[in-house]
Amino acid sequence: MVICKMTMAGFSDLMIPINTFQVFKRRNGTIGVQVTTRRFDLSRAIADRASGYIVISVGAGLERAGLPEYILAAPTEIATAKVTRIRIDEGVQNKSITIQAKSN
Amino acid sequence: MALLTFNNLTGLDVSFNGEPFCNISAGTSSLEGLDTAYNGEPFYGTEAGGGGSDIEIQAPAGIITTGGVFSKISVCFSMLPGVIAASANCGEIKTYVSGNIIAIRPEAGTVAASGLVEGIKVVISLPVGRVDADGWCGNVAKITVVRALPGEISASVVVSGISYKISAPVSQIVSGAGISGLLCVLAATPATVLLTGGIGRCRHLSVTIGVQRRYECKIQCVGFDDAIVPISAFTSRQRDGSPSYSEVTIPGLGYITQILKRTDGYFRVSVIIAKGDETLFREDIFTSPIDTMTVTGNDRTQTIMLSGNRPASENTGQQIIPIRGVNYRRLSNGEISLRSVVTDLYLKPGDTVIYDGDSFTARTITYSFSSVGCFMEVNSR
Repeated sequence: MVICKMTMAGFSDLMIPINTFQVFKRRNGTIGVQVTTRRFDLSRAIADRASGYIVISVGAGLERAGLPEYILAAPTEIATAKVTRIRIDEGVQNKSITIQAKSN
Repeated sequence: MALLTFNNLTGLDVSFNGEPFCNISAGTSSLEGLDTAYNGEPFYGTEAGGGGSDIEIQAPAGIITTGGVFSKISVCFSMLPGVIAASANCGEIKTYVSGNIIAIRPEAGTVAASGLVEGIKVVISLPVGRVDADGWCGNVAKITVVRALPGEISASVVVSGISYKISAPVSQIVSGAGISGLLCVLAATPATVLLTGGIGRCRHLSVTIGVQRRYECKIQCVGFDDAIVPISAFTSRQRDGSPSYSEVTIPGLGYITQILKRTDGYFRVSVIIAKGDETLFREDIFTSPIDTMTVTGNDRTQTIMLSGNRPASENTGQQIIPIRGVNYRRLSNGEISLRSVVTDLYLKPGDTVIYDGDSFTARTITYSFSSVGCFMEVNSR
């Protein structure tokens, strides 16, 4: 299971359910992250952490029913990157939030 | 009637029309200058202790042996040869039926040399019992077996340039040493392929029955043991004078921990031909540094893609290579592309490729494998 966590000083960590994601890590140390979620109810919490970081991890996960929180057993962190952009896309039927992050 | 024996054949010029000609023995002397013509009569037991040159034999040859050197022997077989054997060097053995057609049409029992054999050109349309090279076979490149059922191919030392084309099952291919330049197209399953030495330049190995072809990706990094990961696709593109780009796709995130530890290393993709648990053939396709690791997916499926560029390597030994198995040809603004289902692992940018009237320098070569199949594409630009 892949989970996305947003962290920022002064705020609690925010677990974001992932619809799609992409992480790239280059040999020169550059890291790029893009995460898309349809949990539009988290838009305010995400906006509050716009100057924070995104942490992508993988592991065996347990989802707490009805809550955007996850517990990972033996998690492995894939990437940590600083948030650079938050984009909201709204269509007639669906909405999504895309978070982009980058680290050098 | 007792058959005649000739012991000194130096300068002999003989023509036998309608009479048997048997048991020519030159002792330790040479057959130099022998000019013989036999029209439809058997010819048995030629021995030349001192070797000879420019010898032509038209009738069935029982045994041709020499302790000396054979040079430029021309042998015309219209029937079954028993044994062609040379314990010393054979400079140039050519066998042909007529004109420039180089062929042994009937079954060949044994072609053997414990010394040097150069320039053997044989086309066999029936089973060959055995092709042996106990010594160095310098230019056996022209051995081509068509529609044959060979019993065994064995080499105890290096055999270079064998061109071997088999459309029927081969019972056994054995190499105790390196086989260099083996051009091997197997359309059926060999019973046994045992290679205790290396195979260099094995250009085509296409086995369709009874064995499995799989690809292996090994992640290597100093300070860590090698991690073998499954791959669902790969692409490798080599360009003449430019860095080569390669990428592999690893399904799932099951190996993410091992890969993350080795991102400063390399990935190496090999092709493996196996029968059950036995590996019959292994050859590296490409090795590349891990320049970029990309992880993509959603809440259900994920993949890891590793990609990298390796510096261009100079092609110092340009070859002329025929392309086989072409299933797509594109000509656009003078640029030719050929796509083939036969992957030539030893074709290099800068080599000249030939296909159906096309002849061009391969500037870009792409190998690709995915769930829809594998192919090689050669591009002139």
